[in-house]
Amino acid sequence: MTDKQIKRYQRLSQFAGLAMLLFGAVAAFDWLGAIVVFGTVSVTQIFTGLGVLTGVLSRWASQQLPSAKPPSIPVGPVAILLLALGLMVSAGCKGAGWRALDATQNARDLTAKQLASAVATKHAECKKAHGVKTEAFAACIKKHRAALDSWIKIARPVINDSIAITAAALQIADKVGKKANWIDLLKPAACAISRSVKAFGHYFADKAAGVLSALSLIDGVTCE
Amino acid sequence: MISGIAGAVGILIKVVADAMGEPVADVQKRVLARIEADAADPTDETDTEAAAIDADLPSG
Repeated sequence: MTDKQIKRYQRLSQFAGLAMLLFGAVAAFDWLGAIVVFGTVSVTQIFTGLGVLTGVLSRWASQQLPSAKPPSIPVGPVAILLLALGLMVSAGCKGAGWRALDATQNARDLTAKQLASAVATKHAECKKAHGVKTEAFAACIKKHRAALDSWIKIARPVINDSIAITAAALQIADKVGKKANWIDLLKPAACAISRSVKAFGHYFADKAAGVLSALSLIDGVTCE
Repeated sequence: MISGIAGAVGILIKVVADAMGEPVADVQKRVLARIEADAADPTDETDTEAAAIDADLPSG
């Protein structure tokens, strides 16, 4: 193999290797949601495919070289550095806010479901013990009915408003390329769920742990 | 060797990406769809139960 051929294969291996890293990094960033412009999975798949193709090309070119003449650019360490940096940036970007919103909606729905279920059980007990349309029935169900009221009229509207405002802030931040302070905006929702669970979570009996577990998934948002 | 390292990095990316869960675009779509649904109908199971209790309460 002539020196000219060796140089040609070295360059091909280096450039194909770097192109593979570039495509891989774009795919990883897009997949993690850090690149707002590419919002679809198909874009991730295209860049992953390009990364694989250029990776194969890089490998083929390096296999043509004599073992004493490897490509001079240290593609491996550069790759690790670039991708570690990319993953760190990606992890701290918009994904966290949307995942926290998703977790908040789940915690809200679970709280509503457990409350309704607990009150339905009490409702049936009161009905069986006192009949319906009686003062004794009204007294029996009073606290549970009040818990429903506090959820429907106070907690749930706050939670839904906080979720909608946070989502809007995240979308606006995406459009203008700025960071949204979603933790502060989502706090009222997390606190309303937390306070509700504290106020009537004892009605849930053994199901309260599930609601608390759902609450713990709202990463980064704490209610003092 | 270089292609081996690059391959290992690729696998590492895939593992990290998989570990981080569902793609953000999918989460975003689901969250927004639920917000729209909530805006159209904010009720849940608690409203049904409240109505059932109210129907069984004495009038007045």
